[in-house]
Amino acid sequence: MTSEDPRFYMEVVDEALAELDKYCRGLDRSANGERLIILTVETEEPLPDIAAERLRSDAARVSEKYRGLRVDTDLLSGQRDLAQLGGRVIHVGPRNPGPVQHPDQGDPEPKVAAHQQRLLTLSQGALSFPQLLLPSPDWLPVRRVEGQYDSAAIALPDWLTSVPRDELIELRLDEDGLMLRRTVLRSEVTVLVNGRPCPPKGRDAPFERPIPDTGRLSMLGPDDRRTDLDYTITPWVDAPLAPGTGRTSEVSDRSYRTVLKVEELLSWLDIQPPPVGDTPRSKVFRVRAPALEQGFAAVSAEVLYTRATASNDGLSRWEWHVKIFRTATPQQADLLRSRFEAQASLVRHGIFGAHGNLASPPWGIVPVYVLDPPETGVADAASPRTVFGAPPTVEHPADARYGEWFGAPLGTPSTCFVVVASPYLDPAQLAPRTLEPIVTALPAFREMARTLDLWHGRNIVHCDIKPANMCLVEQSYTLVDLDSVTDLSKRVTELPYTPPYARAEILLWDRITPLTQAQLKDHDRFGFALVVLSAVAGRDWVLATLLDGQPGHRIADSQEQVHTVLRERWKDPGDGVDWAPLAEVLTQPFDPSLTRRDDWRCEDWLESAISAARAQPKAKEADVQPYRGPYAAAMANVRKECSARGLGMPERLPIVHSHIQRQRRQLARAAQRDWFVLLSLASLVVVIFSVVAIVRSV
Amino acid sequence: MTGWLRTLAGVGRLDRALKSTVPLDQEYPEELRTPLVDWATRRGQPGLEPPPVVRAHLERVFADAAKIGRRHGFQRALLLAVPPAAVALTLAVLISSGAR
Repeated sequence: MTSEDPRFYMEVVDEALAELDKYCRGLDRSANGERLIILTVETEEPLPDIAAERLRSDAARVSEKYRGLRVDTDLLSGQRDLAQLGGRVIHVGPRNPGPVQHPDQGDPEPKVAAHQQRLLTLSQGALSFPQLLLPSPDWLPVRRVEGQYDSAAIALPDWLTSVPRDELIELRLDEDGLMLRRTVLRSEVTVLVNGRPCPPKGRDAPFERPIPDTGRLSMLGPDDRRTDLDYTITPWVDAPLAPGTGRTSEVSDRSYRTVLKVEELLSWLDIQPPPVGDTPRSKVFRVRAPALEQGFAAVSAEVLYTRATASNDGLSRWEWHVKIFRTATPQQADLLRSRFEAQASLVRHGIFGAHGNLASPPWGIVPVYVLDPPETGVADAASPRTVFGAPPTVEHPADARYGEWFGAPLGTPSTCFVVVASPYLDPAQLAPRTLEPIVTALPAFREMARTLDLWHGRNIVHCDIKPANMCLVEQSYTLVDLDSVTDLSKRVTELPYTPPYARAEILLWDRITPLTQAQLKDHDRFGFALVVLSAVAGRDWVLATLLDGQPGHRIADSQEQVHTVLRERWKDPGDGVDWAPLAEVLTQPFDPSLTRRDDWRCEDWLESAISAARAQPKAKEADVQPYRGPYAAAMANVRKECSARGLGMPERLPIVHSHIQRQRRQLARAAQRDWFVLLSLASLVVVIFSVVAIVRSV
Repeated sequence: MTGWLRTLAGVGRLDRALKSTVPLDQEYPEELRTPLVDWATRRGQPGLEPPPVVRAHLERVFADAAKIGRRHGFQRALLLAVPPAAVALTLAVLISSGAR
């Protein structure tokens, strides 16, 4: 991600806040008096106003959390070339640090709390759910949560239905290690730790003791139904990532073949090297903690985008889009992998629910495939990581050196890479501006609307709905870029959206006050309304008219204003049609009181828009003067054939083009025939006269 | 139409000539793409007047096609119809002059 991308600045803000929070947590606050903390953020280009404003307000709120601390922000820009440092440098310190140092060059500030953090990973099969723990006297219940869960807990997603919803176990990190105790709830369920029974608290002596760093928690119901959860607790290694330089021309440009073997099925992906000159883009991911006060860890990663070609029938599409991530440590790579696997599970969960069969596109949201790290040899996956429904084996070639593609330091272990693949789809090409509403684009959103409703019903949100994340599959738009998919059953500590495709309240969110489920679903619905409007009224028009300005003062922030500009735009586009009813329907989602209701559905709204578009009376059609210039018939035929097939999306330019070509051919053939017949007749006349002359002469 | 009939009628040659003189759909300039799709799919009468940029493009494309068609019609007639007429005319002239 470059500094030209608005998300870059939001990532810088996220990263800076994470660093600040980590620094504040590690401080000894027992001393009296106020302490001044300087948060310095240096970028090549100045931070946009919205990002700077949010950084300042969020930094102030972070400082409010910690007694005796005051935070000042210092924003620097344009002082030096930061390309080798990921485009930004962030520093937190007690005073003005002078020249800012990159972590690679030695961070003078001690990371007090970092060594105390432990990474707890609960896993079931290939799905794992990591969380950061700090030593604390408080017990944290392990539970599957439905909805936003405000209390501190080690939360598992609600869709992991094999785990009982009740709080049967509580965990606590102590100096001696991980402590466990059994709650009094549902005493008929037997809890086992590494096969040893764990009696409920209050019966006999309470089971409250250290447990090994690695083991298995089992829950055995009265019906002998057993659920196992593996756990590991490891020290958290917070290592900086040295930026890569990208692939150079000296590096071998051969592709690497990754083989997926699922039962009888054998497929492979030939992963192409990224183009020479592509530099890795930096990304920051967060690892959640059970309690907000414990903060979170920011994992820095780099990503390269490339293509892959699938062979064999097992992979339903030939062209694949591949993201290769690089992290500083294998532990961080595992974290990323577990994050993507959870997201892939969410996607499969939603899509299976919608269609029951993944193999039948179009999908509302494209599935993702997480492949094993490029280790030498064959790795057995414990449970499905693809949609095949059976555990695959994944084999990367022995000489796959993805580090060379990144320009990473020599000796980077292969376990620091994560390969994520998904079918490659053609990006949607929405018209920049349109003269009249392209209503024929509306039905193409049906699949997406249905899938979003289903996801919202299961407390899953996409979070980053925008035109750039849309692709066209056959006749349907599909959402891609699933890095942002969020499970609402967990506490939302980050919202990977793209400004300005968000409501004002999201853009101004302080990142501390919990967002409600209704707000997050409304965020998706707002994004959905914007992409529909972008397809109907023009992508650039939506950006320049509805989304321009400061949050809270944009036209999109007021339903009334959106209605006014749409009515004005479509008042008389020249087709003699009254578009007022359609404008009325399309502006509905700009009223948050409507879209926050549980019963508001994207599909219903879309269908009402389609109905409103169909019901337009052609009141002034008789007034429209037909074109009578040269080639009027050919032009009329082009329009007749195009509109008869319900076209309208700019992606359909090739079809319009083909109709023009057909008319061209007909015109050319008619001209050819006319001239051939004319000259042939002339020749025939000459022949007849000649024959008559010959007969007379003879 | 079978192959030799197409060859005789010059259809293949005409299609090749048409293809070689027209831009691919990917080569449409940006300022033309949106108005063209907009106009082509707009509801209402088929004969609705196109915007100037679309009209200029289509008139040029169709005029080129008609020109190519005329040229091929002329060439085909030269190949198929004019030679018999010329032979007949020549014979008529020769025989007429010989008879005198």
